[in-house]
Amino acid sequence: MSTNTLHNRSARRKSSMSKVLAYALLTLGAVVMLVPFLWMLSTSLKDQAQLFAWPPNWLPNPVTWTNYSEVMGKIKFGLYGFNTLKITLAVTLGRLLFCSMAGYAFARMKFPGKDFLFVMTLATMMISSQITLIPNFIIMRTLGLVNTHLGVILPQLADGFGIFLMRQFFLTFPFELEDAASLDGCNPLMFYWKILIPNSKPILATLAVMTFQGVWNDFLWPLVMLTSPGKRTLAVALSYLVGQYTTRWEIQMAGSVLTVLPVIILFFLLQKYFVQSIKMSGLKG
Amino acid sequence: MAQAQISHQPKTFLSRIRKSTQEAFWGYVFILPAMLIIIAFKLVPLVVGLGISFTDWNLLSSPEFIGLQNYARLFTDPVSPIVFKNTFYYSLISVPLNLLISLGLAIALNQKIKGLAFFRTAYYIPVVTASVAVSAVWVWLLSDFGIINQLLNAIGVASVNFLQDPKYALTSITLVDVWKNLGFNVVIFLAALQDVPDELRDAARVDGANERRIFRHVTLPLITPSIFFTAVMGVIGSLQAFDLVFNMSLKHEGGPARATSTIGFYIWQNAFKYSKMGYAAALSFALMAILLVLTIIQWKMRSKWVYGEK
Amino acid sequence: MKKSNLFVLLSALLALGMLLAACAPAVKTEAPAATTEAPAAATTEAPTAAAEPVTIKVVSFLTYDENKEGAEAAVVKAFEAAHPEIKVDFQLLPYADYFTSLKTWVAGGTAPDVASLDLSMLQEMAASGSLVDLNPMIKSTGYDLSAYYQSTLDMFQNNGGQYGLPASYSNVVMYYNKKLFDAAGLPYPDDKMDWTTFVDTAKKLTKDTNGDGTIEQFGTAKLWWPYYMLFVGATPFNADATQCTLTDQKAIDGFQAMVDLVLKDKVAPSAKDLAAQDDWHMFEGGRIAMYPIGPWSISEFNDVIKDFDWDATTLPYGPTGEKVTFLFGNAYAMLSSSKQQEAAFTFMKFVTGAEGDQIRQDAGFEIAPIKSVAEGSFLKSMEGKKPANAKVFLDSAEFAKSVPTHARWSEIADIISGQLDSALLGTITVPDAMKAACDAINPILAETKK
Repeated sequence: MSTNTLHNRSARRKSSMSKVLAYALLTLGAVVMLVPFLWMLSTSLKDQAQLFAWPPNWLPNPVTWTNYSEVMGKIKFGLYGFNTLKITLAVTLGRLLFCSMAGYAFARMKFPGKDFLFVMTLATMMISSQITLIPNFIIMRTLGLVNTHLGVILPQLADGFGIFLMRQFFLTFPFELEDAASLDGCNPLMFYWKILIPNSKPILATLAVMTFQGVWNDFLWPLVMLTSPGKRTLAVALSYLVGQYTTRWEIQMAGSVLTVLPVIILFFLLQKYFVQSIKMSGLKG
Repeated sequence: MAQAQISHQPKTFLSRIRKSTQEAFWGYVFILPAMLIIIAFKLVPLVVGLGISFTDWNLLSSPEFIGLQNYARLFTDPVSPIVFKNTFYYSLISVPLNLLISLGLAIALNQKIKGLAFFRTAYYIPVVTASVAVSAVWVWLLSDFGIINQLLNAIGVASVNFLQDPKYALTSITLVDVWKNLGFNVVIFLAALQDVPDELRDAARVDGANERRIFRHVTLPLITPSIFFTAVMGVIGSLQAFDLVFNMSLKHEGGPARATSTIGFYIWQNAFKYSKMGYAAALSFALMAILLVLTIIQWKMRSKWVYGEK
Repeated sequence: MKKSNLFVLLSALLALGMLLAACAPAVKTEAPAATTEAPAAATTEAPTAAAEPVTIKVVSFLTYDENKEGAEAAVVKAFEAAHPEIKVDFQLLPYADYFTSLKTWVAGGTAPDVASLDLSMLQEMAASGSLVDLNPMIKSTGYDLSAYYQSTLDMFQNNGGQYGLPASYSNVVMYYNKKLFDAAGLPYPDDKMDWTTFVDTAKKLTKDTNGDGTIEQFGTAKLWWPYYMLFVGATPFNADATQCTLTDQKAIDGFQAMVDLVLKDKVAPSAKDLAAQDDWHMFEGGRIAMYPIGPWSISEFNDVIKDFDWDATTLPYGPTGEKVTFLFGNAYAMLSSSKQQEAAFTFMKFVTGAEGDQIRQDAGFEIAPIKSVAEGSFLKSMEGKKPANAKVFLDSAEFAKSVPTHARWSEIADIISGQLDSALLGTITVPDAMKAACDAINPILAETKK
């Protein structure tokens, strides 16, 4: 018994040691990850005179907010933010639905041509977007969707990345549940909607955040597609700050901070879903 | 309850069809919307791109059919071996490194420790920040006055020309790529770790297995599908690397002396800077051929190590 | 397997056909033919034109760096007020990826009638036959070009054709920090300065002020590389662009002078130094004594520089006794796919003419290519501002040269620039770098010829 408690104590000490170590490593890592962002933030709070200070200062002194008011004067954050949000939400919801559906079929169902279609889906990710930009634009022009938000959204509603990701996750979904459901007379659509989706929150949240982030920052496609000033997205509007001969970095950084903030907040709010475990017992009951 | 309601529903014509046909039907139903999008907006442009690769086209006048000349050029162009070599180097470093570090981080971030939300967000911030901004910051951080050379100087090592010396430039950009995209894989692995039921781990623990054994025999097998996913996507993504190369290389020219030019960068140069869309397309399809082979190899090998693949 | 191969092949052919069809509007039209067509089209449309204004599509990146979107929009508004018969569908685009968007639209069949272009974009489009030569229209309408600076018109010519009307121009002059010259007890540079004096002066003004082994204050900064070719009178290739001439002693001397500034005399910051802080901010911070730069710096430098007095003079004579500066500029050009060529030309004349130029000049970006506007408004707007010697920008126009052009200039330029980067790192000598550059450039010249 005494050996047992001893063992326990040393195990506990060992685990608290490892916890300290984990903290130290995580903090160090977090600093490495955050330093560039903090430098961005710091630059955005400097006035022009502080930018040429030598040697450079890490912290803005004094802190100036004028870059933010200037960039907000130049970019209609309300309108462009709304446009960007509209496009991003539409693409995100579409991709969540279509990719999870296709991912489920590719993971669990047998049908002729499945392998071919899946390889084809993967292959579409292997071609540079520079090559497909013009063909895509021509398709959109043929459909009469140039200069519409729908034209920006439509081609992005499903992609190989999302389908492949969902497929991989559905591979580990407990098989027994599907069999049980089908014995209960549950058709695949019912199973997908009532059991699979509600129990795949971590991966859906992951795909949502990744899609959101990618579409939010997307530049070339909305630039080429949207020609009316009122339809612009934030990433496009931000690019107007880069001039032919010069760029005001402090303004650019302020714009970048304002653009990235919503995504960071979204991530912060969603991150708890990443770790929402499947409750096996809950399913059985 | 819901099940009771629907139990008699398949008694329509569907139930009379053989089970496999029924499964095939549902398979097509489920992939239909995604496949429509993929075929119309990804496959058709890809096929058009293939057509472009047989032409000489400056985008401004009509394309001219030149057969396989663009593909022949791949072998005579003195730049193409350099960009292929650089790209493989980029991929060979970034993919395994990113995988190992992100897996470790995901395991650390899956614990019940304080400040988890903060840490997870911190590791994801580089992913969401635009490449232009990230690059500008790193160019500065890697300069003589940047924090890294300052640290090197403090321990008596002379400053390194991270981005201007052809010896280090590509490696530096590759490591920034790992830094920027770590969070991406961390998030995927975090989600994968949720799929490992606590019951399985508890059962193993009761059986007296130590944490290392539990990880190797319980956790690891269950996350192999996502390791497979990140490996395949990592190869596809890194072999097409463009953003950081464009933004961080000397004067956006893929230098010094082509040292940081990747295939993706060279495709962009040819497509929109040099107005050689045909050659750009040929480069892209050559790369795609390599990617297809690599992916098929990975695909064939998956049954040996990936959970749930037969 | 076989079946799918066939399918891919078939759809490739199909798609190619579709692509060709889609590109039809972008097919180049012979400029003279187009001009004879255009008035004819206009006359047939005349009755409807009276009732309904013609609409032309214009894209532009002229945002004046400060993102004063209003300025170019105001030019367009002034045009619409003066010409109610023409409506303008005006799109202001960011300079970033402007050419990519424009090419995508041209290829996709939604090309504008008129586009603003910088020098290299215009030359590339002119060489590919996608721009209208304006000469026949200039002649037929009797448009007087003498109001423009001739050098700004020359910039936008190609094989005798006039492919754009200049909207703004810039040339590079030498700024100097008076405080640093005073501290070193040196006389201010003037327009007589030769190369040896320039390098000597720069050496005296290059200092490791805190003795840590790295240079804090530089005598000067390196200019964009084509300058060092221009100021020895060298060219990248011979007159008919069949042979690379960078291995000529002249060109080698010119580039050696550039490399020496950085490597031998160390009076100009290297790429490594510039990574920590660019030369623009170095001058603002008083770390560069003589800084070659263009008029786009005027607004910010006047706002920001408080610690020292500064002025400007012309660039020094080159090592072989030539005096040269760069000429950059932006123009409006007409795309050959335009079906409203008459209206488009009316628009171009107005926005690059005195009225349009005046609005643009008042927004304070580059210099107006219309002499009366430049001499009147530009100098007037500079009263009380620095550099006091603002006239130097106009004086420099006399010996300004534009960068050489070629249908595949961006590719050639990248090759030369890449080799020079290696030379600036000291990993290769200048003659070897130029030999390597020519080895890569000659095949391009040979290809373009046939």
